[in-house]
Amino acid sequence: MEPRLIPLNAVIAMYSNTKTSWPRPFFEAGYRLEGLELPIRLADDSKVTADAIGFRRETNSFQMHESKSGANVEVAQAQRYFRASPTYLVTALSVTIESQQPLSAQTTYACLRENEERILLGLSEAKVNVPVLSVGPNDVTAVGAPIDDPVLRDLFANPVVVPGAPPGVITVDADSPDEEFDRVVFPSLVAAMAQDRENISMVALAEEALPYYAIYPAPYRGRLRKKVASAARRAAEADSQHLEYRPPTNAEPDGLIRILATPEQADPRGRTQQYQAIQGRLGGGNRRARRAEIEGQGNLFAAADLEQELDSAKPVANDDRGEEI
Amino acid sequence: MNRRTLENQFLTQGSAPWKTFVLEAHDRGEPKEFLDDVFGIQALGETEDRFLHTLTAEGVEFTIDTLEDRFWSFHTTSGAADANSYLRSAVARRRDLDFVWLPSAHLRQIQRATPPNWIKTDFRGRLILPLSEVQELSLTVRGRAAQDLLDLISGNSEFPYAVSLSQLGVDVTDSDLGAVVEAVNRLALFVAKGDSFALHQHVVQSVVRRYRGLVEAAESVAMSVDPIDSRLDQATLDGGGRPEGGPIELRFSRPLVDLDMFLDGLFSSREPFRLWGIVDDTVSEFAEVEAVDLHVGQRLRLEISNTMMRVHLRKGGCGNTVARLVSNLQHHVDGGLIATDESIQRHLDLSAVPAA
Repeated sequence: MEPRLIPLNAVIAMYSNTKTSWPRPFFEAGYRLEGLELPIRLADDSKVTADAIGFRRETNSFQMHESKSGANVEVAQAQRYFRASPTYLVTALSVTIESQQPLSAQTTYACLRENEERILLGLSEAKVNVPVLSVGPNDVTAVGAPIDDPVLRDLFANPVVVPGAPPGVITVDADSPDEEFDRVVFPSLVAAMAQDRENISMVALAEEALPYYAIYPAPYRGRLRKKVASAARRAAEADSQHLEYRPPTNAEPDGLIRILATPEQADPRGRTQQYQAIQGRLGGGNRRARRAEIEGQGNLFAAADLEQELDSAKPVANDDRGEEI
Repeated sequence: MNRRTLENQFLTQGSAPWKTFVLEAHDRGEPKEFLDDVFGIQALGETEDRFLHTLTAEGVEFTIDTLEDRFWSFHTTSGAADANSYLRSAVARRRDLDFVWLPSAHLRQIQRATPPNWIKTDFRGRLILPLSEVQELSLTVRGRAAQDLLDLISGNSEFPYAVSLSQLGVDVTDSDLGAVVEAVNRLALFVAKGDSFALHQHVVQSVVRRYRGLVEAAESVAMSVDPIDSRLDQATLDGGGRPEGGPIELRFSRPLVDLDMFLDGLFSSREPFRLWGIVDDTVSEFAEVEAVDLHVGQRLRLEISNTMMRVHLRKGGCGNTVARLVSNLQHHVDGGLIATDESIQRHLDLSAVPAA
C-alpha cells in the first residue's frame, strides 16, 4: 500500500466490523462507519468531501474524517468542515436517530507520523482546532485538540499500538502510479480468464479491479477508468497470447479487452502451467523466492473395509504435483 | 424412485458400502436446470420426488438429493474411486460447484458424543514449509483412545501445527433411529453401513448445518462499498459510499519460519490452494496480494505476515473460498490456526455448537 493511503485505511480499520489484530477504538466506542467519500453540502451550496464518516447511535455523534495523504492543509477545506451540519449528515447517510441526545459532529484529521508537525502547523494557521490522529509504524496517537467524545478520548489517552500496516480497503486512487493500477487490474483480467469471459469493458474492469469505484463522482471515475485502461493495455502488451486491447469506439468509448485464450481450456496440468506463465509475464510471480521441486507423496494407510473404501477415493494425480487434497 | 426406494437401497447394500458425497452448488436457480447444465441432460433422470435426481455416467450411478439448499448429497454404491474421479472432474469444470472443505473441528464434531474407532491425521506441508519445521505428519490411531492421544500430541507446545485431522471412523447409535458406522473424510465423503438411512442422513445433515454456518458467517462479513446515491443517471452521481463487512483474520499458532517459501507455495496456482497472485516485494515481513481464487474465478485480497493472514472476501464472493482456504491451511501449513474474530472462530472450532 502506498504510504499516502495509510491514514485513510487506518481510519477505516479503526471502525472494522470484524476483529483483527489491528485495533478498532472507534468500533469499541460504539461508532460505526456510515460513509466514505461523502460530499457534504453546506448552507452556501459549497461542499466538502469527507473521506470517512462514523456515527455513534447512543450519543448521536458524528466523526468526520479528513485523511491527509501528504503534509499540506487546505485552509478553505478545513474551515468548511466546521460549517457541516449534523442534520445534513443524518439525511445524507440515512442514519437512524434513537437517542434523545443532541446531534453533534466533530472533524478529525489523520496523517502519517512524518507529516504530523506540518499538519498541526497548517491547521493552526487556518485557525482550525481539531484532533489529529498521527499514524506511525507502531501506533496511532491523538494529537492537537482534544476529542469531544469522552469514551473515544479515553481510548486515545495513550498511543494505540498497531501491528504494522492497516488492512487495505482503498488501496489505489486516481493519483496512484501505474504499477499500483497494474497490481489490481492484472489479477482482475486473470479472474476474467478464469471465468471464461470473452470480453471485458473498461467500466466492468474498473468495477472489478476497484471495488469502491462506484462511490466516486463521474469525473473522478473517468480518471480512474483511464488509468485502468492504461493498465489493461500494458497487460495486453505483456501477454498478447491471452489478451488483446481494443481501442475506444463509439460503442466502447474507453476501449475493451478481448480474452483470446484462457488456461481453463487446457487440461489440469497445462492449466496450472499457463497460469504460472501468465504470472511470470504480468508480474514476475512471487518476486521473492523460489523453492525446490519435491515429488511424490507416500501413503501410510492400512486397509480395512470402510476405511479402505474411503482411501480409494483419493485422487490419482491432482494437477501436476501428485499432491492430494 | 423415491425416498423409500433410496432407503431400501441403503439397507440392502451388498458388499459395496454406501457413499454420500456432499457438494456445494453456488447457484440460486432451479436445481434441475443446474444439474442438466453440469452433467448433461442425457445423464440425468427424474424421480417421483422433485428433489431427487438420478445420474448415470461413465460407469457410476448417483442419486442426487437437492433437498438441502446449496449443499447437495450425491449418494452412490459405485466404487468410491470412480465416483470421486467423476465428481472431481465436474467440480474442476465449474466455478459454481465445489467440494465441502471441512475444517478439522468439523470432522472432530462428528464423534463428539461417541469416541471414534479410528482417526487419521495427514499434515502435508512439504511443498510450503522449510525443512526446519515438521513438513509432514501422518498418523493412524485406532481404538477409542485415539482422540486422547491426538489431543496429547496437539497439546504439545511446539508442534500443534502439524496435527490436522483428515479422516475418522465412528459408530453412531440412536435409541430411536438405529445404528450406522460412518467413515468420513475432510472433503465430506461419508462411507456408511448400518440399519438406519435416516440416521446416516442425520449425520450428513448435521455436518452440513455446521459447515453452512461457517460459510454463511464468512459471507456475512464480505466487504463492499455501495454507492449512497443510487440514481440511475451515473453521470450525475455525487459520490459517497456505504461500507460493509470487514476482513477475516486467521492467526497462525506459531510464526512461519520462511514467509517467502509460504507465499511461493500459496500463489503457485497449483492444487490445493489454486490461488493466483502477484506478491509485492516492498516489505520483507508483510505481503499484500491481490489474488484470484482460481477455483471460482473470483478476486480477493490477502494480507499476510508470518503470524497472520487477512482475507478480504468481496460481497457476492463465496464463503466456501474461506472454508477451503482454512481447511487447506490446516492441512498444509498450520493445524492450529484460529480466526481472530470470535464470531468466525465459533464456526471454526464449533465451541458453541451443540453435538449432533
